[in-house]
Amino acid sequence: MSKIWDALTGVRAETRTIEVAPIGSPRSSAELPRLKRRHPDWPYMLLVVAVVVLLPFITDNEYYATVLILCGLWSFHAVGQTVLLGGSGELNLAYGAVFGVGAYMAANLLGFDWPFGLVLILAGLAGGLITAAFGFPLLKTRGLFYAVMTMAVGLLAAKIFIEWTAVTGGSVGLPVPMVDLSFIPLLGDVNPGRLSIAYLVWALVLLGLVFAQRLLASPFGLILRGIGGDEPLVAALGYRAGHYRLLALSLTGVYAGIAGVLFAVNIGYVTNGPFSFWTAFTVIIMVIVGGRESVWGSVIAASFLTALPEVLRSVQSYRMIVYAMVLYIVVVIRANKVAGGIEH
Amino acid sequence: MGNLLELNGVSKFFGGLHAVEGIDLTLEEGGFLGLIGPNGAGKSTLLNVIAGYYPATSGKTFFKGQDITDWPNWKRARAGLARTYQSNRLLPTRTVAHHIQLAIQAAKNPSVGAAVRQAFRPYRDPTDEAVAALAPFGMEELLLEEAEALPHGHQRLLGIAMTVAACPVRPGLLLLDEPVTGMNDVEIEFTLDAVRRLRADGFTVIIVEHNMRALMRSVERVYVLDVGKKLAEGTPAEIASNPKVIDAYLGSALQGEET
Repeated sequence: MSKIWDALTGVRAETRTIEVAPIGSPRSSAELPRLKRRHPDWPYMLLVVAVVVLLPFITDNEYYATVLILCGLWSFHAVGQTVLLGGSGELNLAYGAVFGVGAYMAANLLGFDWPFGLVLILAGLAGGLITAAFGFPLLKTRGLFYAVMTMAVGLLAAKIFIEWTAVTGGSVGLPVPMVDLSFIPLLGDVNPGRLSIAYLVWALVLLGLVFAQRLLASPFGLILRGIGGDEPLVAALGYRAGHYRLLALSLTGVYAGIAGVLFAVNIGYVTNGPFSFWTAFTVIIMVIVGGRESVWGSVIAASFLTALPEVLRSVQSYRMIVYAMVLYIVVVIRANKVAGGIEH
Repeated sequence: MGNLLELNGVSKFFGGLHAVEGIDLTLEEGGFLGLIGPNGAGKSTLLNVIAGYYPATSGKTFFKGQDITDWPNWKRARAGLARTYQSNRLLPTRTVAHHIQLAIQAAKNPSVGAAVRQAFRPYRDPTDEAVAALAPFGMEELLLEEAEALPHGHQRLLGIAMTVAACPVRPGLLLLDEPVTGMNDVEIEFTLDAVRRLRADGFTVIIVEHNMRALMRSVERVYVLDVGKKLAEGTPAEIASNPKVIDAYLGSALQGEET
């Protein structure tokens, strides 16, 4: 309870002080500290694979597969946004717009019978390039100004999505052709339907997660987090901060583009609704609940916050109240980490 | 040896405030220059202009014979201009190891490409390099401590260690902004010893310091600033007996210490 009180009143729960030998005193012969390795990932990986693979053996109700897909989609979003938010700590509120670009690309290009794999790659590339293009002039801004500028980009894109009916179908939307996912091996004799999409989405979540994790644990991540803490300090060491910030932003665009394709294929019909900056906000909430710097935390938080309203269907009209309260309490208690820190 | 650093008529104005005006300064390789003056004389501003933190309003800056006037701070750092900050400017919640790794990577290859490529190579424990970088400052046992948990003196030393480890070339120019502020006598002695060893390692040093006793004992040459302009320049002995300097800055404090 006191921890919650401290968080609410802005008092730090623990202020650590350490005993240090005075400067200039002879050194102790104690063994030097070694850097700690990251927590092992495989228990989480195993858990995810087990849940996804075993689902059809537990139930053949497609509703659960759909919830699993939604959890995977939001996890993918959250992992992508962690690269930026857990790195330089910046907000990309144009995320929803780039997500939309991926979805509209899927609807159009799959309509021309382009192969699914190619569309997935192209959407990722396009998302990254578009984000880099609007991100470059934003490098002069920081913090809140940067966030507001990305939001302006998002609002502009939302207008384009409505008006450019030849490509987007406007507010009526576009159908997305069925994609043949029979190349995905399914375990056992099960009804493929939603399950192949669940496998696909979660395979990409794991792939995107390993990528994000390695990146954030590498010198790139160290430097990016340094820039998030004090940009001039890090620049004075010889780093071109702009390059690092732009790459991190563009990578969220790659994730957004790929997520757009997955979303479109899953839902079968795209309208402009989900491509507003509310998507970006939702993703950011998930990343913050999961602990800004923890990639696994993002996945856990995204899955938790997606599944929670479904679980809460039993309390019907109190659903959103309970949801908001749970969210509030989680944010206050888990100020920084849920699982698997990336800090050495 | 040629001049490592040369300032020709360098000025920095903040709107109508002439923080630094018409500074001519040359520093040969291997030199040890003390920059002194009353509060608000423009010492830190001058250091910031040399480091590229602020662009100069007018004048030219040369480093190793190159005109670096228009170079941003990161480019100057890569050429060997290393600066520390007046306050303990660190990443509070990051470990000492994080700071030192940032610096080591900057010295090796600061490009974004190099940083990303390493994400997909086998993990290597970078402790040995970090220990080597911290050892001259006696801080290798503090690798895993967070910067904000360190005592003040150690935070200042970490700032210097980081700056030195990030400097990719020799000769380098080390710009120290009040490195021994808030330290006791033993700590001051240790820090100045470390700085002397850095000179042997190929660093030319400019030091801004208010602790006259420590400064006058260490440096070879003193440059005195007053309201943004040069007041005097000379050996510590010359400066200590310069009536203009005593009047503007030293007052009777130094004489008092000598008794």
